[in-house]
Amino acid sequence: MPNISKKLKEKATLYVMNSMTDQEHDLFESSMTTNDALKQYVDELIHTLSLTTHSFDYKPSEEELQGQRNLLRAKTVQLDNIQSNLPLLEKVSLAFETVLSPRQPIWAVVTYVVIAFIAGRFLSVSPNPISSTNSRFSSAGILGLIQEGALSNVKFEKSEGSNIRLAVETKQNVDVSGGTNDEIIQQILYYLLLNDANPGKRLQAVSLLETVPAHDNKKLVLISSVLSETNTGVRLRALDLLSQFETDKTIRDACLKILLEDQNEAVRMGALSILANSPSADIVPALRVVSLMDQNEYIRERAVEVMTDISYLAEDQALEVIQ
Amino acid sequence: MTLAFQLTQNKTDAEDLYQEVFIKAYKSISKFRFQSAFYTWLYRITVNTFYNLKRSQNKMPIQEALEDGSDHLLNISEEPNDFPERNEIIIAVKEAAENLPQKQRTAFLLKHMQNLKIREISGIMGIGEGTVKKYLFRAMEKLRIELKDYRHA
Repeated sequence: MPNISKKLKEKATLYVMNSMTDQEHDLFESSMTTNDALKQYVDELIHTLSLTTHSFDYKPSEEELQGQRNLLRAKTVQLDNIQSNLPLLEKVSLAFETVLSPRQPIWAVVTYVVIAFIAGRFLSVSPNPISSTNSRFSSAGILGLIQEGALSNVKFEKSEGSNIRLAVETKQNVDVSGGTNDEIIQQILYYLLLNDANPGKRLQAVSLLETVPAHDNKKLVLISSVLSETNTGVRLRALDLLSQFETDKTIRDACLKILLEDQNEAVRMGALSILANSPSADIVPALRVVSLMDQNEYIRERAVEVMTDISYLAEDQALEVIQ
Repeated sequence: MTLAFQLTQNKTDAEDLYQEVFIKAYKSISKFRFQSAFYTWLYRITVNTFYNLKRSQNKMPIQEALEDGSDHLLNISEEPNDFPERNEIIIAVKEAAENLPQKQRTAFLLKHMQNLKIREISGIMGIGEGTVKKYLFRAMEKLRIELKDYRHA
């Protein structure tokens, strides 16, 4: 065979392995038309690849896979048993560790919260007028307090109609009332949901968020809540509200994390439902793990169903392309 | 499972690798931070576990290693007269692939058999994209030369 430069050979490898940009691809194809040696070299590479494809192509049977799944389940049960048989002292230390360590790294939670508030500050339109019984506090002043984290003991007050009335304790007590379209009310609800120590208040805050119009900062606050919230009821409610958003990558990633990590079956199921509504090939590996490892049989079966749906969808798309 | 078979070319090792990868993933799932795609993370565990497996096998006494090689070559038909030429090709491809340096073979399998992008392979193997391209080129060149007699079979 006539000599071909090493650089051209490297390009030929990328060409046969579909690793060129469209422009590089076109350029390479045009250079092949005038270079017979290169064309021959590419043909050889293609034939070599087809030989290896047939030899390496292996699809394990369903029985083999089932056997592997059973073995994996047995091993994970064994692992869980080893953990539950730990000496008492280690169990106590583990329990403390679980209580003291957040379910999420603190940087992740802080990032979500900061993004939520920055988004809230810069993305929202100018706030609607709200009424405050204390004239010394403007809405901007309260926003400042929220950003400083200086609010404490926020109380829900009874109010008429659709208005929400909140009593905010700062250096001076302030009463704030307004609708869920008011930015200040939204910010206080976000603050309550992410910061208040009382789970009842967090639940009330997330329930009120239902009527807050859907926008990015609401989504980010809800994601932050489902990932960091310790109360199952609040997590479920936040997840429910999150399901009303279009499932983008941020929501998909959060749901995958919940599906793989959350201790509560209902929350994991909720996350799986959101993922099922937006099937994507990216989630298949995680679903495989869930179909093998999840402690709940129904979730395991549902994960298999979602994977099947995704494979049908892929087949349909392939057919459409062919047609 | 398919990647495990392709990497090990040995059913027993592939099953061991598959089990070990999922157990490792199960134990360390809380460390996964979604900074990369989930499958990239799983593939990275697979490749690293495979390297460890190979390292431990290399330390195995020779006699033991020979005895262990009885069930290699998965795709070879068990029927005695069923496409003998095809079996010969499979053996040749297997030998050619085994002769490739480990990293070249891994890059080749991830690209050609798993259809991953160069960027993804670079993340999985923990090497630069340029190095992945070099590995692919060298692997392809060696396979082309070693399999020249079988190309028109």
